[in-house]
Amino acid sequence: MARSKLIHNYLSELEIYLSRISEVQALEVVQEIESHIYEALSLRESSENTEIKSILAKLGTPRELAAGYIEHITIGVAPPKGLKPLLKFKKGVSRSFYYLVYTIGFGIGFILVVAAMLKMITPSLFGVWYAEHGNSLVVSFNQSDYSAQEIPAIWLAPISAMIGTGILYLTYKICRILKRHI
Amino acid sequence: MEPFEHKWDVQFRKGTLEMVILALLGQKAQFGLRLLQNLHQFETMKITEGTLYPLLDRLKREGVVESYWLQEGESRPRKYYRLSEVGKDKLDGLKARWQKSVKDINQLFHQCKIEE
Repeated sequence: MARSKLIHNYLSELEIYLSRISEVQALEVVQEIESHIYEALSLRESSENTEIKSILAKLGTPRELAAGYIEHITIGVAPPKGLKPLLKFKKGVSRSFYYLVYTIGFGIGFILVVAAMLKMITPSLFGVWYAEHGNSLVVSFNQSDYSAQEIPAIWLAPISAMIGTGILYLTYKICRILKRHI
Repeated sequence: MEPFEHKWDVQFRKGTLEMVILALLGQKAQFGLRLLQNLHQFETMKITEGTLYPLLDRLKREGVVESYWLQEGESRPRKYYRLSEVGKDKLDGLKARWQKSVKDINQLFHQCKIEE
């Protein structure tokens, strides 16, 4: 490969990897590295490809070199002082979100499982009824309204228990993930 | 060189390289390759080009050095770096801290010797 081609390829690749910083900054970096390569080359006795390759090797691959320039973007510089309260706030939000999910998830799951168990233990006292000609559902102890029609427990209890257990399991999983982030 | 010596150099440079570069630029403005040659005179400061250029970029972003392009005669334009006012203050501070560290460590060695 011609020597200028080697250098050209290196610099174009470098420019691609520098796309995270502004175009003006990237161009300046490329110009500086280009200047360095030719300057280093002029100090060598020959300008064989092996010489160019050794100069380029000392710079590292274009990707490695670019990484040094964009490190502050990818890793992130320390946040300015004013940002601290904001971070705390964000942390606070995720903490309360965790408790919210925890409470609602375990609450609903627990109620559904308990309801299913109650129906199995005291079938006559607890149940779900259609009321007002099917316009609403009533879940209660000892429904006394005779116009209401009970939904058979053979369907409801297992479904309630299954959904409840599912919600409990899901909440447990979600809370474990959330806990890692607060 | 023993492996632990090489490891030590790498670790030690992490903390001192910035001060060393500021000191070199404190003498006079220099372009990257010249700076590198100056560093390479010293056995423990042989950093690569791939370390130096991004570091200079960081120092510039932090405002401790300034840069400008200069073309002399027929040569290609070079990017020169010099200390900013902030950089001069920082160099003074780092130097004082360095001297204090060396003094402390020497004193510690001295004490250990007496106790032996």
